[in-house]
Amino acid sequence: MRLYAVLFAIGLAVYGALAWERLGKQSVAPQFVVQADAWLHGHLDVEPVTSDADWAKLETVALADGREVTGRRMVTQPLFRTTTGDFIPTSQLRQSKGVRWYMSFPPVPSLLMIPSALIGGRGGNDVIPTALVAALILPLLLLVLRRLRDAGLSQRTDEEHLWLVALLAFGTVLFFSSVQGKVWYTAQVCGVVLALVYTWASIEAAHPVAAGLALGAAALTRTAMAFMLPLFLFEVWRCRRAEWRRIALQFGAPVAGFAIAGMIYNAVRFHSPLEFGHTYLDVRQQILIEQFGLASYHYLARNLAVAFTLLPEFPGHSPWLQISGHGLAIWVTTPALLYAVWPREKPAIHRALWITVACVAAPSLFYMNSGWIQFGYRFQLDYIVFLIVLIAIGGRRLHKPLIAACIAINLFGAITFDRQWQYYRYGGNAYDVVVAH
Amino acid sequence: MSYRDKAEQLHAELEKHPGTEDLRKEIKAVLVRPEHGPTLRDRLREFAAQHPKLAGALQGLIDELNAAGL
Repeated sequence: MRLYAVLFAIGLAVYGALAWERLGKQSVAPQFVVQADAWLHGHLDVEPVTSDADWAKLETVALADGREVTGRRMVTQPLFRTTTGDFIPTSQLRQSKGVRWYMSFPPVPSLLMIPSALIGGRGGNDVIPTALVAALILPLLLLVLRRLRDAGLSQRTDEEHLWLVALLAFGTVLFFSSVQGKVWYTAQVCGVVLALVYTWASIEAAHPVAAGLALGAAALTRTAMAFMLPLFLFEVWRCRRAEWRRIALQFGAPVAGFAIAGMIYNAVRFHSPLEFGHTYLDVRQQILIEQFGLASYHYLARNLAVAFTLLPEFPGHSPWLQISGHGLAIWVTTPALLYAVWPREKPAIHRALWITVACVAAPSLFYMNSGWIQFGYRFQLDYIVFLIVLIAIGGRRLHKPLIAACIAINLFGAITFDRQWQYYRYGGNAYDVVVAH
Repeated sequence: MSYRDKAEQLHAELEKHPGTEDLRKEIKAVLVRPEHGPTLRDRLREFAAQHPKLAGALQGLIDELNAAGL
C-alpha cells in the first residue's frame, strides 16, 4: 500500500512541478469547470463564453413564416441547419432570437470538476484536478501489472513494473497532457485512468460491474473508448464462458446506465440522442465538418501521417528544432512502444489486446481533427494502456536507457508545450501542410 | 512574467476602456490558439498607434509574444 501512495506522491510532485505557474489559476480552455458550474446552477447550457475554444453554439431564429427554429448557420452554404436536420435558406431567416452555448465534450470529466466549481464557481481551477487525476495513473498501472502477474499472464518483477510505470507516466504524451488543465488534455488524462480501471477489472473477467462502470464512464469521457469492449468479451470467453449470462448482466447494466444517461443528456440539449454537440462547434474545422462530416475516410491519410510519420524538423536556424502543430509520430515520442510489436511471448490475452487497440484507434483515424495542437499524437492515450500491457506480457527485456530517452523526449514536450511556441510550427499553412517539404 | 500573464494583465486593463471588445477577444484567442499570435501582434501595434497612453502595456505584450515565439 505504501508503494502505491509513494507512486501517487511522485506523480503529483512531478506533474505539479511541470505545471507550476499554471497551478494557481484556471486554464484557458476550462469547459469542464464551466459545465460543472452550470450544472450546480441548474443549467445544461453555459454562460456566454469569452474565447473561441471549441464551444458548441446553438442559435434560435425567427423565420419569415413566423416559426422559430434552433440550429446553426452553415459556413459553406447560405443555409441554416436545424437541430432536427432540416436545411433552411438564410434568406428565410427574419431575426436572431439569441444564442446558447454548450460544452460539447463528453461530460464525465465535468463530474471531477464539481469540487472546483463549488470552490471557485465558473472560474474554478482545472489544472490541479487534472494533475491529481493524472497522479492516480502511476499506482493504478502498478495495480494492473501486478494483476497480470497474479493471473499468470506476465512474469515481470516489481522493478520492471516500476520502469513501465515511469514509461507511461513520463515517457509518453501523457506527460505533457497532464500538466495543461485544458479541456482536451484533461479528457485524455481521465480516459487513461478509466482504461486502467477497465483493464484491471477485465483481466479474467474478474470484476464485471467495475469493468462496466469504467467502460461506460470512459465512453462518456472519450467517445472512441467505447470500443474497448473486445478485451472484456475475450476475457469472458477465455475464463468464464460458463457464466456468461450472469456476467453479461453485471457488465451490461452499468454500461446501459451510462449510455441511456448520455443519450438523454444529448437529446435534451441537441434534440438527438446521438448528437453530443460537435456538429455545432464554432471552430475552423466547421468547413470540413460540413463537407465530410465528423468522421470520414477523407481524414484517414492525414491522421495516419500524423500518427505514424511526423518527425522533428530541423530548420537550420534558430530555434534549430521545430515540431509540427500536429505533433510527433507515436514511435518518435515513445520509441519504447516498439516493444509492443516485438514480443518474445504471446500469452492468451495478446490477441485480445491488439484487437482492442485496433478498435479504439480506428475512430480517431477517421476523425476530422488530428489532435491539433499538440506535442505528440495525443489520441494514442485512448489505447496506450493496452500497449503498455502488451509490453508487460511480451516479456522482452526492458532497456533502461531507452525508457530514459522516452522520458527525456517527453520532458521536452512537458516543458515547452504552451510555453515556448518557437519550437512549434503552427502559423501560416502549418495546419494544412502536415508534412513540411 | 510570461506572455500569458501579460496578456491577462492587458486584458484586465482594457476592460476599463470601452470599444476594446474585439481586441480583448483576440487576446483571449491567442491564449488558446497560438496561430492567432501574428494577427494579434498587428492589432496591438495598430491599437498602440491610436492609444498612446496604453502603448507601454501593449508593447509589453508584444515583447512577451515575441519572446514566447508567437
